[in-house]
Amino acid sequence: MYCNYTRRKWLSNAAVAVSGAYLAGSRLGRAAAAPATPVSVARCKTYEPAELLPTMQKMFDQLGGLGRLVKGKTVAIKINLTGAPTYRIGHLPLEDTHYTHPHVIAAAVHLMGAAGATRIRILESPWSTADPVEEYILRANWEPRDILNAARNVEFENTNYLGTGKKYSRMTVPYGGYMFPAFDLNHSYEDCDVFVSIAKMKEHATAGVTLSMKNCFGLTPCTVYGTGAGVDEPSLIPKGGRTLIHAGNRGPSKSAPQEKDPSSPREDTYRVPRTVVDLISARPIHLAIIDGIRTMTGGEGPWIREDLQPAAPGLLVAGTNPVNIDAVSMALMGFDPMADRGTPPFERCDSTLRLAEDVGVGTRDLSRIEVAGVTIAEAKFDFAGIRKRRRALPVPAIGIRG
Amino acid sequence: MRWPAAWTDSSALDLIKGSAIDYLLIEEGERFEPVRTQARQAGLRIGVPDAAPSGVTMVKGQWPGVRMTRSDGGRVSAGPTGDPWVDSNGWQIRLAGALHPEAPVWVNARPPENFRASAGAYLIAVADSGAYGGRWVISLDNQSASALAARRPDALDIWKRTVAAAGFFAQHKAWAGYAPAALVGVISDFAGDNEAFSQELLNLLARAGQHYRILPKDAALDLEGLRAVIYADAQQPDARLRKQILGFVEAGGALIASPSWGAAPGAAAKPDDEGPLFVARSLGKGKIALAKTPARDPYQWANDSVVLVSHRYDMVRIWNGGATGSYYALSPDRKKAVVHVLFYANRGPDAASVRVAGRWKAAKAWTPDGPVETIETEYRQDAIEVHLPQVPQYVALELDA
Repeated sequence: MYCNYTRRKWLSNAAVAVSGAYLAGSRLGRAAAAPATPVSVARCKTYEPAELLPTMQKMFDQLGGLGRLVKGKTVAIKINLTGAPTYRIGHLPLEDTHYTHPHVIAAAVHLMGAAGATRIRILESPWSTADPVEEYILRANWEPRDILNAARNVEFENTNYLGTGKKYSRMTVPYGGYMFPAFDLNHSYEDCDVFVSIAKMKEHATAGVTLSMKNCFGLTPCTVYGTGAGVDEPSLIPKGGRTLIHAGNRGPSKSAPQEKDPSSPREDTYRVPRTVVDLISARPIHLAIIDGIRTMTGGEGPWIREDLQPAAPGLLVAGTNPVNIDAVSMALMGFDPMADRGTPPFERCDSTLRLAEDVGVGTRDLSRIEVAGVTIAEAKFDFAGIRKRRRALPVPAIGIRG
Repeated sequence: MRWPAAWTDSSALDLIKGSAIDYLLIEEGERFEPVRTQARQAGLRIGVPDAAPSGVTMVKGQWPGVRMTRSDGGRVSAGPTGDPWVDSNGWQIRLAGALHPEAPVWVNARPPENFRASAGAYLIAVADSGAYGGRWVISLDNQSASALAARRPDALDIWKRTVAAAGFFAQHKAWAGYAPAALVGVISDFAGDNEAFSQELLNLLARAGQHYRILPKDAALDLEGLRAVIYADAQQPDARLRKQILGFVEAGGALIASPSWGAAPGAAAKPDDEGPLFVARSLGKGKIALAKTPARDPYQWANDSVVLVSHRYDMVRIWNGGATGSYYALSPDRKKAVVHVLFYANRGPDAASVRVAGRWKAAKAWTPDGPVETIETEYRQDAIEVHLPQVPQYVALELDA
């Protein structure tokens, strides 16, 4: 049930308040009108529940409390398990570098359960498989029961294919879309009252940064949008990655809405940011949590050809507007959220934040965003400086990366 | 060793002096007579190429490694998931050993036409057989054979390392007597109409990282310790076999079969237990997964079996290994184990980790060059995790309880 309540309730937060009016005005006008909501920033040095739970509880309280958002509701949480679970940075666990940490997921689930959520569904589209998410995370040495038992009525679903649904859900982009007018997604993204993005704080090779919005690129099922997608109808099982969105070398299955303008650039740095904004507009984010306690610098996963290093910013960020929270997170990473193509971290790509702001999802202007908890200046971890130093050095050789 | 055609000078025998090579397969003909004579005098046994000596099972193998596509600019071939397609002879060695336990297994696999000689490629060839208890018939490519005859240093280096690898397995012959650790049993006659499917299933189970036991249908089935069995044949099992398998399911095991199994007892399982390609039924403490269609896809069966059993019980997990293979075997008293790990890429990994299920108290890592001195181990409740430094394409983990 895709509840109208949710749309009304969160209209003021503008995750969904995207209409023709935004598109009709000037860019500056739209940006000025884009919503601004509080963002909570907290220091959290470890993933120990004793530190994590009270920290996250306080952050949610700073945002007005979880109860008003989740009580009596079905909550869907998109986590970030990018890449295969068989690749690590060195010998480090995946959750210490590029996967959303299971303790952050479990803590969020626990607090949502305590706040009255009736059903909590953990969603991800794992790499090239229709296997249950529980099976996927076992391969990363995780214990699914830690999350399943964190509250009542918790379940996982692999959204990289039809899953337990009878048909794909057609999710329309309210403003018509940059790239796609609508998407055919796993039913889980429609059958929820509240949608949450729990992301990892990272740089990204194609999109500059990956935060709460970019995390939603994985909403797209590879049976429709992947390398092995069926031509006419979705394939039964997902195969490969989302090359067709990255490269535009073919369209999604013909049963799904097609790209608006096949003559648009076939560059991933143009296509991915726009598709992300289309996705988070079709499937609005009501709550975003960014895990920056331990992460990595240099990219989004071990396959990136950069000098990848583990990092421990010791940060958690939460908010109800994805553009606002991503803007604050960028600032915490030492980047200017107002940056555009040509400026770090968007040297080669368009800014997902700007594109989202342009269609009125939320502002990236820090002067309009209230930051609760620790100040940006106090909490900043200098990804930008590390990036600058790293890029002054030769690119490492490709190989099986440690 | 297959004696290279270019080595008509018996002085080439110096190259194998002191090595583990004890059998030469030499082409017939007068020109090799001096070689044969001198080899016999040196105590070596002599045979002819492509013919198994008496008492030996010779399997026709593939050149092991990541398959390269010849028509596509030498690119790496990929399987249905996009993972690299790996050729390995391990399943053939194990099947031959299961069907003829008394006979040693040799693997006849020659380098492909587009072969680029390297120590790593030959190490994989030796280890891909040795790990599974077989012996690769050392078969040099023509260029390497000529270069060795001329005693070129680069060729000598590759040769020394190849011989060292063969020697390593000769020094650890006891490992070949260890029994495979397994989660899944594959039941078949492995012949006739069932040959292609059952054998490809073994091949793909290994590629999926599933640790299996081969259970010839007409032999007494040892289901001890297994979590699932795959009934791979297209014919219904006889009453005795059906009864034994259903007893295994009722006690908590899982059965994976095609519709040709016939009517399955038990009750329809929860929808969550179903995969896209299998219908699940529960019986006693166990479950039955029947393929929805008679068409049997060994790739799908192999991969679905892993999930049906659950990754929770993975015997071996490998990180940062690329295209890998592993074989986990236990000593007869189960107090020792060896896990052979093969990295099929063209160089070994620089930071792989290997998790092995079981309550092991100590681990040593070996390469054919000797012990790996700088491993780190993490002890978990039901597993040990070994972090490796840069290693070549083959590592043996020796574990003690």
